[in-house]
Amino acid sequence: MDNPLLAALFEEEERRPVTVSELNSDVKAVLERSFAQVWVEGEITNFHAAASGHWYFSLTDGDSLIKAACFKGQNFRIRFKPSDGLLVRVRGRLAVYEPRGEMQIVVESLEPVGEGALAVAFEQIKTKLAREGLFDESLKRPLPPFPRKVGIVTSRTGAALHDILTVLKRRARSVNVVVVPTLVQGEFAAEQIAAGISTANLFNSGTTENERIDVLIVGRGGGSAEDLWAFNEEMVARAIRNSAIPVISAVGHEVDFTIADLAADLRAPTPSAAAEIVARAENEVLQLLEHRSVQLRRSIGNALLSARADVQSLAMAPIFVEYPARLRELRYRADELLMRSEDVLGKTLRQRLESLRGVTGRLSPVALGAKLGENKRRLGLLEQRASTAVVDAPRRGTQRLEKAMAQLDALSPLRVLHRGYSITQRPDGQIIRDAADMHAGDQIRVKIEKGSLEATVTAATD
Amino acid sequence: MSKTFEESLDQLEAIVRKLEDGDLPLEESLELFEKGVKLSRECKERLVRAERRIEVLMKETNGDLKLEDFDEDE
Repeated sequence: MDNPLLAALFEEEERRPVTVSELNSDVKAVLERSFAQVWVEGEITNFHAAASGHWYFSLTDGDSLIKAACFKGQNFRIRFKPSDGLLVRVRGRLAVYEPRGEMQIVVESLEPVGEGALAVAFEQIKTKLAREGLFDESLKRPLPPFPRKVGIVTSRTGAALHDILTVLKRRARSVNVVVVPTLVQGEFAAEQIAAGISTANLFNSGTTENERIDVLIVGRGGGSAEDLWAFNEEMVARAIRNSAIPVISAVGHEVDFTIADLAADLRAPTPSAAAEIVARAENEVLQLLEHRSVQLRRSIGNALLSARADVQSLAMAPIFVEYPARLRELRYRADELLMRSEDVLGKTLRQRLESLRGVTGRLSPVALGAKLGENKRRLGLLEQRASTAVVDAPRRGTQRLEKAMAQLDALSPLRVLHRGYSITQRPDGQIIRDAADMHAGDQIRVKIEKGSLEATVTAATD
Repeated sequence: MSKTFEESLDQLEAIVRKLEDGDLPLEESLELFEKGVKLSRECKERLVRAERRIEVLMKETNGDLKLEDFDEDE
């Protein structure tokens, strides 16, 4: 019978106490067989990452506690770094450390409760690197305005490279490409990506300025969070930050955010978008060139204009302006003198000429014609008046006669006699107006309306 | 052509600025203008006529860098 414990039960004379080692060894055998697989939830306390690479911590639910160890060979697979207070679910096995009689859980996998392990890991790395200042805005370098050569750190066969080359082919005729092939997922991806970034920088330091890579695109196409994980690794972020060449990150799709994005000088939402950024630069430089040649032409135009203006203002200089003016003035004076001398010499002649001009004027056909016209006009007027008179005269005469006859009629003595008056006359016809002129016995004639009476005055009274 | 593309662009910009300041004698302006036109033409040609090169950069196990043409059909 090999087992001393059992032997002790049956063989009295063989009875003896077991050694501590024996006990621990037996406990170990039992426990490790019974608890070869455990799955336990608890909060981490007393976490310690040893220099050896192993992790040591305890799990507790508040009342009870158990020790745990996660060895280097396992913990490299765990993305996040456990810390005190974190609630986790642990898979592993129970192990007894015989020399101390202690038991602990040997951890094979560790999952945070609640958030996924990757999310926790992401936050942890982000917090750590942010604290170091790795994502500081002040560290971001501007992209070169005119990249001539772009380096692409990605998988040689992946979708990202294909997308980038497609865009560049269509949009940028002149940008050269250097592919730095790496794995983009799996255990060794992060290391290769970081190495690729430094290889590109190494290349730059050993080549002429014209051959240098101006900008790096670091990325890959879409995939699961696990697929993209390499771009969340600290060493990739550090390689990006240490790159002398500005880096555009281009990982997965628009929604995928990685630590590499935070560390890069510029985040492109996708590999295609990164290529668009580079291509846009070519378009911009073409436009800039166009603008420069317009500026050149305009400024030389201005220079020519101002030169012409200089010539013009020279032409306006006093010497050139005044000389012709002086000449004109002299010419005026000469003219004036000439006119005055003509005045003196030719005054009488001119007067004669003028009177002659008057005579000839009067005799001119125009003057004669005018006179003839005037005479004709006057004749016409006269004729008109004459004809008017001829037509009117009889009519006007009749009117006057009728009027005169009426007046005559009114004044006629016959009209008075008709009213009963009479006229007394001397025989010689003299009208008697005063009785004193007459004496008794004088012959008188009394005229009445119809006929007259011959009578003798019998007495004269007054 | 030993100048880098960006140097050419910088030089072109300097010429434009000098011309725009406008204090130069006409002779000099014309010389600068010709130079500027030539530069901008060269730059443009470098952009438009350049044939894209696609290469693959690898680090060999001994640490040497190796550059080879990239076969797009692969």
